[in-house]
Amino acid sequence: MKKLFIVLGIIMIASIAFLYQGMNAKEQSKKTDVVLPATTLSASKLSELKNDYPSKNDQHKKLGFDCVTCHGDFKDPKEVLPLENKQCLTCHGDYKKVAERTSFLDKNEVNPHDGFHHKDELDCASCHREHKPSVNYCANCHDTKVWMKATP
Amino acid sequence: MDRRTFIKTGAITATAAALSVSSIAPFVDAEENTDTEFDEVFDIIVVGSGLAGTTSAITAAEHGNKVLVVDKMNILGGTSLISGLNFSCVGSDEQKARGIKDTPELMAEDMRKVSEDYGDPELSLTVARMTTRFYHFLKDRGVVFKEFKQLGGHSVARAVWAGGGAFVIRPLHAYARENLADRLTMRKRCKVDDIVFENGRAVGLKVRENYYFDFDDPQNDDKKNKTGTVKYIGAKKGIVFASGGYCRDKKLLGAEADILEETNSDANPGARSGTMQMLMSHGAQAVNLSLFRLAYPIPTEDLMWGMLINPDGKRFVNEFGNRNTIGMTILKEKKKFDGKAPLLIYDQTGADNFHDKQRFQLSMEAKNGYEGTMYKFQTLKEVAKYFGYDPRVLQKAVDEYNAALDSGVDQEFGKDFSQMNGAALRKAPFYAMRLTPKCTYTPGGVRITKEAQMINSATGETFEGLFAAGEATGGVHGAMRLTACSVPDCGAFGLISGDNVSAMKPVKLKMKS
Ligand SMILES: Cc1cc2nc3c(=O)[nH]c(=O)nc-3n(C[C@H](O)[C@H](O)[C@H](O)COP(=O)(O)OP(=O)(O)OC[C@H]3O[C@@H](n4cnc5c(N)ncnc54)[C@H](O)[C@@H]3O)c2cc1C
Ligand code: HEC
Ligand code: HEC
Ligand code: HEC
Ligand code: HEC
Repeated sequence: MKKLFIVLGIIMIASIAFLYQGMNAKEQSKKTDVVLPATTLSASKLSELKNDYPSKNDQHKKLGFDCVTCHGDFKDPKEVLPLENKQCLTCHGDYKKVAERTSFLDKNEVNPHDGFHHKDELDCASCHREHKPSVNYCANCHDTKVWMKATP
Repeated sequence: MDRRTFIKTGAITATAAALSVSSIAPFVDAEENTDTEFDEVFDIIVVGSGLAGTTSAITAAEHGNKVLVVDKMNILGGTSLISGLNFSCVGSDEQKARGIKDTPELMAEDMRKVSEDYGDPELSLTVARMTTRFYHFLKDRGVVFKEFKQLGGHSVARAVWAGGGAFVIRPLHAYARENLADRLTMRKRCKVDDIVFENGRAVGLKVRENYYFDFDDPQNDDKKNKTGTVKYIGAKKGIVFASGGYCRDKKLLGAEADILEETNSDANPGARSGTMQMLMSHGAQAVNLSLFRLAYPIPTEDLMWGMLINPDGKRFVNEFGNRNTIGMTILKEKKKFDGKAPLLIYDQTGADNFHDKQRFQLSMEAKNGYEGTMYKFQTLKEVAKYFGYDPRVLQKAVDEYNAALDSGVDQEFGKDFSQMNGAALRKAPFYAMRLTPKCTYTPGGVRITKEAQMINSATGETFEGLFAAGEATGGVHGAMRLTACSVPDCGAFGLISGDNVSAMKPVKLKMKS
């Protein structure tokens, strides 16, 4: 039964992704009436969790994604792992597409999605975080503010 | 729903299923157990995916072994991936084409000249002797050398350069993926916590998969990070520790020499001492831990064109002095000012005088590592504002410096003003940066034989089944590792450990049913 819910949830994500692929970013960010996939968490538990794990990503927050959208179903937040690239890319296409969105940084070889040393091998969550302020992995060794905006 | 979506669905469901078993507790204590049941068994495990580990793993896989490489970080490649990876090599095609005569003995001698007699000369010679083989190892596996250089401290030109670490590590990893996929597995976010011994022989590792390095509190990652799922992985032939140095470990550096706490580093954020401490807890001998190598974002010889002042606006050192003296003086000065780094200022003439214009450019573009960025200002007031100086204090410092230059003698610090070629602090625009020496290499580490076997300090003998290579080892270089000599070290002991671990007699290990 639980598995079925997950699969159901995933189908929902897939349809969001499908919608998303047909539009450009600007149009998409206006779209807020997304159908949420199902979860086995009780409503009270869910709202408690939403307080504990608020979204810091303006766009995601607007879209009001539920935990299950990104993490799949779970009982205890302790089981939850940071997202893998493929989970972000369900909606965001592929790494190449993401890199194109920041291709104005290519000529300097500092595109965070296709940079000099790391190319497309970094995990999204090494920079983009959902519940804590985002960071920039490059900033471990570079003054990134000279190159680009803060990580959304 | 199309096929692709189905595949994705499967993958995500699988992740969710894996989560539910993550809470199963570990079943044995690593040390005491003599009959461990492993979750997985390989012939050989290599710890670390940098140059040393990658070399060792490819070598062992090419000998026909089933090899696992693990790395605790979020990306493979370690410090090696972002390093310059200039490679001192005897007998390269580049040397031959230019008719340069060189021998391993000469290179080893150059290495020993700056060692201050620390370390083991036999290990340096072993490194130099392996360079030709390593050169061809790299070339045959897709690495292309773009430049040939004469570097400081080397009695002949012998450094080859592929364009940086990415141009060495990425081709090697691609080579492994394309040609050794059936035998060689590379796994990131897999942290090694301990070694499993059976009857005195190392036969496996206790690891944590899905390990998330704690970038918010990196200094305490080794001690406090509890992420990941415990697994036991067996190694029938042996284990190679190519776990890198500890440049970022301010606690250990600070314990060895107080002022080293003030260094910066661009090494892998995971370059810490936890792995070495674990090896020491089993008796591995660590040597030369208090040695270090300082470097600046810009070459030492280009510091001279500028003025260096502390947060009070006072000069404190001869900018034209030698690398280590300037470095140590800056570190002491930082300590006095609660870790606040001094400021280096050039005028346009000073900037024009740079020997290494490419470095200058890299610095202007923020491509020169942590706090290696130089900023450009039209007036001294702007400099003061940006770096938080009282403009009058900065102006006074500049006036005094210019006056000293005019007088031709540096009364305070004895800088040789006759070499300045017009550089002063007069001609706008001005260029300024904070200057802190970086720790880019730790010569200390676990002691090995020239066969790359790890040595047990309690018995003086080698550990059965344990090898080490690369910056994780100590005693190869001594006090001041010669420029471009870590690559040959990683290469030599990567190859040797790969050969020797392959030659071990396999033990039988039990799999968990
Ligand atoms: C900016 C810079 C420039 C440099 N330039 C040069 C140069 O031009 N020429 C030169 O010769 N040298 C240079 N060096 C030094 C050289 O890059 C390094 O010494 C070398 O890359 C070290 O390689 P390694 O394979 O030993 O370690 P690394 O490449 O650091 O790899 C070690 C890996 O082991 C992993 N690891 C550690 N502990 C564990 C554990 N418990 N479990 C799992 N994984 C673990 C780490 O995460 C890391 O990825 C430079 C260094 C720096 C910082
Ligand atoms: C848009 C995708 C998304 C949604 C929706 C989402 N998360 Fe996350 N979550 C992430 C990412 C990315 C990370 C890793 C980065 C971070 O820690 O912020 C993460 C990490 C976590 C972690 C592990 C944090 C840690 O490091 O300990 C937990 C627990 C978690 N989320 C719980 C939740 C809960 C509960 C909800 C619903 C209220 C939720 N998440 C909704 C993307 C999401
Ligand atoms: C369920 C679909 C979905 C998932 C999963 C998802 N996103 Fe998004 N994300 C969106 C949509 C829709 C937008 C708004 C349109 C746009 O900018 O693409 C968005 C916007 C963003 C933005 C732009 C934010 C801004 O303020 O400009 C970033 C960055 C981002 N996502 C990163 C991630 C990362 C990283 C992950 C994985 C941890 C992730 N997303 C997972 C759907 C998703
Ligand atoms: C090295 C850090 C880093 C990594 C890794 C990274 N990002 Fe980004 N991302 C950034 C930064 C920084 C920006 C903003 C750049 C700017 O606009 O100057 C950004 C912007 C974005 C945007 C918004 C682009 C726009 O149109 O403004 C999206 C969407 C995004 N990232 C998604 C992802 C996804 C998905 C991944 C993983 C596949 C990923 N990022 C990996 C740092 C990173
Ligand atoms: C662990 C440290 C580290 C990290 C993390 C890092 N860099 Fe670097 N990077 C360096 C160092 C050191 C250099 C200078 C190399 C040299 O000495 O030539 C450098 C140089 C560069 C250069 C200049 C290359 C050239 O020779 O022209 C670019 C571009 C660059 N980095 C981009 C990035 C981007 C983009 C990121 C994040 C995705 C990043 N770096 C993350 C350490 C790092």
